[in-house]
Amino acid sequence: MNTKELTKGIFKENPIFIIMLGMCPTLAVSTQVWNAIGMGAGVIFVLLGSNIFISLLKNIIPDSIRIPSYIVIIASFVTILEMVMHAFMVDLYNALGIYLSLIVVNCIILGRAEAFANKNSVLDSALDAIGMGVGFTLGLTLIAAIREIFGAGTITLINLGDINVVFEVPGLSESPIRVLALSAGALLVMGYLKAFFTWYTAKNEKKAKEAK
Amino acid sequence: MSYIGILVTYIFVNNFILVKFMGICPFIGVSKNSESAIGMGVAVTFVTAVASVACWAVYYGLLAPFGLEYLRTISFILVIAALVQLVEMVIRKMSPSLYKALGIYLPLITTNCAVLGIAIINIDNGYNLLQSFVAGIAAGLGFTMAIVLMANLREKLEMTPVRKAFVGVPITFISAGIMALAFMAFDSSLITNLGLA
Amino acid sequence: MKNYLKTGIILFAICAVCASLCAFVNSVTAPRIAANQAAANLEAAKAVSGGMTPGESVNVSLPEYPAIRAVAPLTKDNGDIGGYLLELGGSGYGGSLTVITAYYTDGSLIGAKLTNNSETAGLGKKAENDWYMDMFKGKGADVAIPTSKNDLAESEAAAISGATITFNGISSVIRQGSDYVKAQGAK
Repeated sequence: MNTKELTKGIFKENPIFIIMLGMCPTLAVSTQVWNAIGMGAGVIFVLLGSNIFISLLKNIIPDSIRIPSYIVIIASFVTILEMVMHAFMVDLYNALGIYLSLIVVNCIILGRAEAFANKNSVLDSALDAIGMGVGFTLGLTLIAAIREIFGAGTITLINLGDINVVFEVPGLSESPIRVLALSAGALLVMGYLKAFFTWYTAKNEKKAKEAK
Repeated sequence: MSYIGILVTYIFVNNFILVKFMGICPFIGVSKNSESAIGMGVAVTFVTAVASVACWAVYYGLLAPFGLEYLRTISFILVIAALVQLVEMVIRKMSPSLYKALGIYLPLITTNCAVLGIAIINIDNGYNLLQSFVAGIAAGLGFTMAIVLMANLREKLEMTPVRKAFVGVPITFISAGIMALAFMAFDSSLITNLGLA
Repeated sequence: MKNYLKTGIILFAICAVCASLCAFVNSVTAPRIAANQAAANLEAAKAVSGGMTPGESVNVSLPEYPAIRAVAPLTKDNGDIGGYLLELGGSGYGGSLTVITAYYTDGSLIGAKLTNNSETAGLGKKAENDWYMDMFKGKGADVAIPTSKNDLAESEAAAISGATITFNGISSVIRQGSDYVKAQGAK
């Protein structure tokens, strides 16, 4: 088993902060931690399904119809996800709205199919999908946590209608910094986080160089 | 909603990039100089307009009569992919100079959320054919406006000292955030107050 | 030629497999989605109707009142029509939204509930709470339904700040429903 395929997506090739893929759902649904977890789970499901499927079919699909085939496969998994979520988790389905359908055009999924699944074994592709999906989820959750804590003063871990786990941050929940919950806040948080990651990576590289 | 109302809605009030975050990847990637930004904007506007009409026709002509609404996502993305291919071929045949200008952006448009996004929004809002077309154009124009403004900003930013960690993408996001703040001045009460609802 | 045919068949096969997979999942989930929807509507209808019994709901599309999607009469215990239950559709900040409302025949609001919506958590989502609709309750007959921040008391205006678009979306459809019910009463 190749654990490198699993762990690379979480930090070193984190889809959100390092390769900057899948930006639009990242910014749009990161208003609540629960939404971010839901979106992340959705992306993991689609990514896992499409990576396994494409890896299985890699010798059958001719090169010339590669992209349309991938798109059909990805879109099917997205459709299944939409229907299941609509049936069993209506609140989450409504909160994610159109961004659920837009998983189809999330560059991470087509990108992984093209760059990894059509060249590697089924097991490696599945591990790659989980790694990338978890990396995406963690990045998304981080942004959502910052926006929800400062923008609304709460942390919504679970919101299933009957089961709710919501923490209120004292002080912030009465007078939150509302701008962070709005669209402008998403862009600002993303900018500062990306700057932090650039700074952090540069610092580590410098250290590594000095150690040599 | 009136046609002008739809135009104002998708250019200003619900600007695809700054409010809905659709098409943020090319917005960050292709906004380094204003020339390519205009090229990308024109290409996207063209595709959103045509895709709005094509997807509307597919949904109401093929899917709805047979109760196949659940195949919406699959069929729309296929229509868009085929359309982008077609547009690429037509432009290459008809106008090589236009192809030279837009060619490199066209393949990127299939995976631009804005195109699939407007197609789905048209259906969700129950627009008719002409309204969908107008909404498609408006979404594209809103995208173009944002990306061209951003490109101009970035050209200016290159001459400004920026902290090392912020150079490039981070400062672009932060500038976009400040632009989005400015766009909050346009909200849907604008539509109501102008009597365009 | 043969190659083209083979490629075409493969692509067709992939599409067919995917479509039938979706069809299968749809056949499992569709009844549940419909049942959820019906249950949510029924619950909302009960919550807003002020003790009256909703009659059969009729889907409508009226050019003068584009927000109204469905109308059901509300009957009092003695069998008289005491008001109307309306399903209203409008748009908020995050997209389309549905409001279930009930009015007395004079157009005053008995109760309202925001059901389907994609509003922002912590801002527009507040409209799902019961206190939100108290701003409109009882209004619509003598006092107009408030549709702008200036019509509201200071504390209420503070509660909706940051979510004006949601408020505009909800208040405008509620006013439309009230106007419709008033017009029905005059007939």
